[in-house]
Amino acid sequence: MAHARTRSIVAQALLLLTVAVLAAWLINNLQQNLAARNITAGFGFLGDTAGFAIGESEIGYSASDTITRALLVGLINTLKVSVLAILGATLVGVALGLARVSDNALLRGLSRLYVEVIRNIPLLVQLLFLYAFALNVLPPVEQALHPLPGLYVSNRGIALPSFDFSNFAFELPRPGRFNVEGGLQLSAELMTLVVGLSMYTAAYIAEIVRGGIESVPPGQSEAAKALGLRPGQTMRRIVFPQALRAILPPLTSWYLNTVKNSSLAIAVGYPDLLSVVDTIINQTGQAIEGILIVIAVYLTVNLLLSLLINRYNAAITRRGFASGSGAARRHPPSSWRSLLISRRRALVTLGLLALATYAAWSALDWLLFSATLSGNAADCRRASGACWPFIRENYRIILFGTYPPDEQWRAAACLLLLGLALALSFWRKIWGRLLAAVWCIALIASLALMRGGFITLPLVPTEKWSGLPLTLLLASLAVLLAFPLAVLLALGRRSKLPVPRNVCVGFIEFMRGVPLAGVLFMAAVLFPLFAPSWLEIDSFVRVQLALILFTAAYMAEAIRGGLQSVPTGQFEAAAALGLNHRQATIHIVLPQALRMSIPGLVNTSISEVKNTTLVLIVGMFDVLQSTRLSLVDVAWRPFFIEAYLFTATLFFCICFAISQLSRHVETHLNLTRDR
Amino acid sequence: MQIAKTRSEPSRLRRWLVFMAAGLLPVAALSATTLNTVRQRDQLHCAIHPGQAGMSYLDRRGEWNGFFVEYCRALAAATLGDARKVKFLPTTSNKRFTVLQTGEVDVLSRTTTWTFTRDTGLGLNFTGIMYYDGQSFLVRKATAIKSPDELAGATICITKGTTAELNTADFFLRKGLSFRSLVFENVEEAKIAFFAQRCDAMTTDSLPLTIIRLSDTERPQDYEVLPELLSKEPFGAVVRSDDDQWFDINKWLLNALLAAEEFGITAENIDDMRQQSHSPEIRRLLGAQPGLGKSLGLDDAWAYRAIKAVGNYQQLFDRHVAPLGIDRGLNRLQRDGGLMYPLPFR
Repeated sequence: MAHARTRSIVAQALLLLTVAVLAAWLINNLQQNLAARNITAGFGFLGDTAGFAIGESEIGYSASDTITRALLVGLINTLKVSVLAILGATLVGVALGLARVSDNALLRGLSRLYVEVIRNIPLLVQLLFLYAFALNVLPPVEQALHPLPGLYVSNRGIALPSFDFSNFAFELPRPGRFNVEGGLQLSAELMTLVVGLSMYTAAYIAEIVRGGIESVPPGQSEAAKALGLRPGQTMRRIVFPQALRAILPPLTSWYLNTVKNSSLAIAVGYPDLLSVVDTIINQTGQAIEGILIVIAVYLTVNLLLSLLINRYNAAITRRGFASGSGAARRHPPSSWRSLLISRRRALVTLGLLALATYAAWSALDWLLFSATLSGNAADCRRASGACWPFIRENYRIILFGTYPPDEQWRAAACLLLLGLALALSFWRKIWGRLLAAVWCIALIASLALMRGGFITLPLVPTEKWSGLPLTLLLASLAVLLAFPLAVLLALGRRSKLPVPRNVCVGFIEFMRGVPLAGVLFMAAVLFPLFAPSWLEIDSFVRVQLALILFTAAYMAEAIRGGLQSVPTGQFEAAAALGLNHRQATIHIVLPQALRMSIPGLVNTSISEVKNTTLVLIVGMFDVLQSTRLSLVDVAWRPFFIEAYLFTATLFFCICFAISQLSRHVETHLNLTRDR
Repeated sequence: MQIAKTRSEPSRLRRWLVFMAAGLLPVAALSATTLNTVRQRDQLHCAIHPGQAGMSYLDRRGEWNGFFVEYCRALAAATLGDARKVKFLPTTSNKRFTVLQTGEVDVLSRTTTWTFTRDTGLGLNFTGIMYYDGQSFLVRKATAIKSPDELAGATICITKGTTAELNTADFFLRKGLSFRSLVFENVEEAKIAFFAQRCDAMTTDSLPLTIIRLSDTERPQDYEVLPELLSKEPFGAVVRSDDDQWFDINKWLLNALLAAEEFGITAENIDDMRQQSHSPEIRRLLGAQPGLGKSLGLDDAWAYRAIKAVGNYQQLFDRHVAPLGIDRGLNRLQRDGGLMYPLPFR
């Protein structure tokens, strides 16, 4: 016993020492690099005059204010967007979640469609599309819609009356020389972000709500029915309050995600914190200080938010529901729904049917009947529908971007290989080591093909890799290489030894607290400052490393969930059989935990495919960036809908395939578990 | 290709000897200069604009091309003997100085304005002026705006991280007028917002605004670039300030391209000029007469290779900028009434 303790103390001391030495080494490199490049570090610049304007500010701000004030404006804007988006997402999400468990098949189907479509398309694609749509479809300000006194809607945003507390009167917006002036102004950028973030997050919240409601034992609603409660009352008073306990923890993490996702503001011209810091870094050159501020703010906001929600969570759990929902399981639609008044249901169904038909017809008309099927850009401009020649002319640039046209077959082969690996993943017979081998071979072959430089294949350097192959390579490498690291992190976090536990907790929480945009920026720009001068790493490798570390933190949490779900009896039984702790972990607990965490891991993989769109922020040409590239040509610029639709469909197909795989695996696991 | 001609056997041997000798010295001494770093990796790393008509764009073959892109090709030809040995890093306005400071690139060649703070405060040096420009506004003619003073209260689309962002704020502060800024990460988004009438004016340098007016709308006649300039915008290549040799190479490369125009040397006639010209300055410039390479750490044919690879300044301008309908204006040679004044090669 004493021997084991000494050994654990020595091991921990060694680990601590390694971390300390690593940190000291990095800081030393940083100091040398800063000195060599004449960059003066420090936060003295915060008091300087900012010199740049910020379009939207809740507190008074002008270009002659200090940088600190500019940061404050950015922070308040971030918080404003986050709060509005969280409110919007919760409202829409709960409504959708209720629709998901409705007994109206049409409503259920439509909400399912919404959830599937939204979840399988990257948020950045949705935001860019939404913004382009708002700009091009809403009228310009001279022709602003003015349906009610004091309400103006144009592609610059919405102007509403505001209440002036000093005069105790309403202030109405009125048209000025250029803009609508006065009142409450909601800019198009703010609205795009709030609507985009709300719609995206709502799809996840809907699934959380559905899961929560389904976790309430059917006996509860049956009992309520027996007591004579109406269906609405049953839902409001009996089912939902109980479901809330299952809903809150995952909801919290989506609230945190929304705060982090608001950093995509940078792509639609809204001055959030990251965007303001970006400007400051550019105008002052203080990159490290700027990034430190971003990290500190996001970690603080996330910490505060999770503390707040955890307290609320604890409060409602304390309200005495002794028997947990642990005994609950998925069940067929419960009987409260059958009590809906049939006439109302019929009305709802008819309304929905009309709406769905109209939407489907308009879509079909745009896609096919009014579309231009062949011809050129000029033909497209004359037609009101979709422009298919756009895809014919530009699919190459969208799919392969800047990869040399003569070598394109290699990029195409790479897509084929990865697609094949994904298809093979559905084949149950090869699950396990064989499948892992398939993926390894596919990835290595793809990398070799893309890079070339052997036999007769000319070398294509990584900075020319672009489009869909780049997206898929980044995502699959991130998932595959993050996995071993994630297992270590999850085990470390569950360890009883304080040093590894704290190191792992620190790493995981840091990565999960900072938006991916921030992590990528660090990898792309700050990495060279922390690396020794003799080390030069390809920017592809750098971004890939950042994605791996980021993915590992999220995967570690999925695996930790799996570890927690393994009953302690398993450990005890293993000990009784004479296995030591390590053997028990590797042979008994981990295999079970990994099986349990497969759905979580697959979800992380889907996020990773979508996350790769953010690499365009650090100047890599992923498939979204090459889509934007296809819109640079003035002849084709009006056809942004076709471009984004094409790319969104690509992402949808890939992500949907992976989510189907997840379901396939889950069903199989449930079957084998129930057997 | 070209290097085979210029690099003779003894010099290769000498380089080997130097290399061996350097092996005995601390490694730091060898990697100290940018030129050595570039030579060791046998590739120039060059940060460029991610997409600007004429200046920096992907051509039909999927290669980077443009006025500022070709500068890097010329630099690679001068230092490495092969114009193709360049790795281009498309960099947004707000990342450009960081990638140079961190050593990720050796040179920044794009529409970057030479200002006091940038030159003195960022640990960087501007190597010369490759293009003279000034900031202006692009407006719709329908708004009947004739001068920037009439933009009070307007919404203005700006690209992030540019001098335009600061100049615009300065301008309105100076005039005591208010405006609403709408700042985008790159010019593409700003353009889309402007043409959708999300903003009343778009501001950046006159050159890109003219390009946008001519090539980004079907009806250029409905738009106008205001003639009044807010600022001076001299663009040039930027290097780190810790390496005087690399600074000199860049400074004189630009002068070589300008001098070539002055002397009438083109990519096509350069071989004849090199052999037949009697002008000592031309002979020195093209390395027919030795002396101009050594102090830069290069061989004497560096300028010859650069001009042969991309042509002279006028050829660069005619190839990339003139087709956009832009007048050479201030960028003419001094003898033609412009500001370009090639320094003497002696």
